[in-house]
Amino acid sequence: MSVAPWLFSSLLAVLLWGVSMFLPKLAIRRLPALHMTIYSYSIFMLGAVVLQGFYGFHIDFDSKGVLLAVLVGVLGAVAQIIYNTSLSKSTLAYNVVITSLYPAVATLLAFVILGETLTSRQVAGIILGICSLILMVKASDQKTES
Amino acid sequence: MIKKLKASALFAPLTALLLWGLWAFLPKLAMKQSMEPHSVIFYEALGGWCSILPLLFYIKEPLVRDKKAVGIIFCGTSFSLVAILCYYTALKIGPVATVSTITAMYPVIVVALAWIFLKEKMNGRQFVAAAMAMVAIYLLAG
Repeated sequence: MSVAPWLFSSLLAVLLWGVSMFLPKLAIRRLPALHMTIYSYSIFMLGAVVLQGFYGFHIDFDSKGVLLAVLVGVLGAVAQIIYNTSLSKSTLAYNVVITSLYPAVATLLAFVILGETLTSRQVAGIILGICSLILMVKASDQKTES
Repeated sequence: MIKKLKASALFAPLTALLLWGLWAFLPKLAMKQSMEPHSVIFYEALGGWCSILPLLFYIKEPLVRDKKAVGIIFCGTSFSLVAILCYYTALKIGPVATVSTITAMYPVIVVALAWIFLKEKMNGRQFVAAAMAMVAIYLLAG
């Protein structure tokens, strides 16, 4: 049985992300959301510099690539600020389930910009994702009302 | 007022969803410019750090120093950094849709941890919604 070489990296990312998305809920009880984001990104910057050490401080430079990567950082930071603020007001499960549907956005962007094929199965996934989002919001509203 | 509050409760995670969708997609374009994953992480960190710096002036108060909380954030951010490196490495050689979809299965772990350690419980409809979201993600891997 052959396993795609990227599968191990993907599965390790799932595990580490799972834990890293859980931990902020513990920290948010002791720190304001914005303070948490500042700490988080400062540690991330420090970690990114340390990581370069493992690669002999060889940092590629391509003006377009750098611009895109910086944009990734900006978008991620804005998303993190919004997420942390939301996390201090509602449950972890509510926030995590809704934001976990980001692959639907990434899939649509890959289809529109990169021309990657969009299968009928993926279209069904996007529709089901939207339905789950609506149901999650309605179910959470009901819980709040009751 | 209550309606506004509900709208804002949805607005935040939805905006994060859209931004993270872009966040998940754009590295593929950056790596198409022959950049290695670790380099993308460096510039990403730089971009993110520069974006949050203005917050220091906005909050106008000294940062709360809570050793336990900072320690927790340190662990979370370190895990996140390694997760991003794994994600970009997979993204460089695998298709965007499949890789971003598999990695988006992390809520299963988060919900389980929230249930075990925070005693967060989901009602029946929330559980169905979460299951539907996971099936949707599975289908997206198409």
